[in-house]
Amino acid sequence: MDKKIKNDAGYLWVFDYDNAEFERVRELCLADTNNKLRENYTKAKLKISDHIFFAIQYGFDNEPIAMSGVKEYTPDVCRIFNRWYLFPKSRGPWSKREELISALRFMNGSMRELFKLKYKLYFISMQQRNSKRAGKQLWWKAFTTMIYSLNKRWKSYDDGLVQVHEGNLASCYQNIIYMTIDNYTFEDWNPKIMSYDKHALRMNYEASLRNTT
Amino acid sequence: MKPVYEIQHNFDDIRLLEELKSQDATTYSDEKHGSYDNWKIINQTLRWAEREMQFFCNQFKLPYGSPRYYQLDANSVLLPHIDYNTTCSINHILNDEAAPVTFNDYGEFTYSTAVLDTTKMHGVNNLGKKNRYLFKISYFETTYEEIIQCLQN
Repeated sequence: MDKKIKNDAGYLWVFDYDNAEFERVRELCLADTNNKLRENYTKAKLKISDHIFFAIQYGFDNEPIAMSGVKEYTPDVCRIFNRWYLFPKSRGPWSKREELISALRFMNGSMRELFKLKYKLYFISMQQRNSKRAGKQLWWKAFTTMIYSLNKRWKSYDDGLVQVHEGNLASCYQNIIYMTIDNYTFEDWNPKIMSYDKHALRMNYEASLRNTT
Repeated sequence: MKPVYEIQHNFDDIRLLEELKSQDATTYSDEKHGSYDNWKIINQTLRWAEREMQFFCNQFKLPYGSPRYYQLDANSVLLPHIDYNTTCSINHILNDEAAPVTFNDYGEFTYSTAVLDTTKMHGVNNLGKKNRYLFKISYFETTYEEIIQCLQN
């Protein structure tokens, strides 16, 4: 796959192979030392080959605005916005929600491409921010409210956190919002779930380990 | 040049809002952006909209534009975009305490009536607000600068 899709912000480049331009963009991303998740973008942790496709949104100046990929979980399920990253210079006048707004704009640009894929359940996942309050956290409620308002086919899973990575670490279980097609259901996917209370305990436990070692 | 130019004009808000609310809103859609459930167009009956547009344009010696109504649902966001096939528009807000428009490179603008440069990226953050009702006169050829020049003359 190698496509450029023009949009209001510039263009979206969708590809599925290693290349020098992506490595240039990766270096720009890794230069952002304020990014707490910086390690997720190193060569060891971000591989194009782990994705069905990867996409970079460019501005009219040919510089990257944001990037993310689509990752297959099962033949029917994929995660969108995998390894999402918004470049610092693109954080505009949208105050606290600027990153979210940019994400949605980016999503809109790639959504038509996504739904040409064969999957029956598309999901976005995000980690719980802290363990002070178990349950759906405010930032997640705001995010899901906005997504629903754009398209009512999105649903959030509200009975706990869903396992999106192998393992039992708290970060392996995340909030998810998903959209299904062809009568496919969340139960058809049937991923492992961790209750909000248990997850908060797990986060506290992992924090205590970090504090004592 | 700022992308928003405020105007003072007394539109007949009661009639316009009445006309807007008397008909069904349909999801806006265009070739470039697709559709969003929260951004709706209302354009089945435009009797008062046409009348107010003509009165306004005659008063300021502007070319006639295309009037229509839009609704941005409560507690939602109109994503940043560039209007489809539109060069500029005259926007008049029909409800109180409306959210400002945000232009990506310029910031937020709160207005009641204004000319907008819709060729520049803009959107509305209506989170925590009620439905936002808009009476809009769109131009497809006349530029933002030309409309402002007419208004200043």
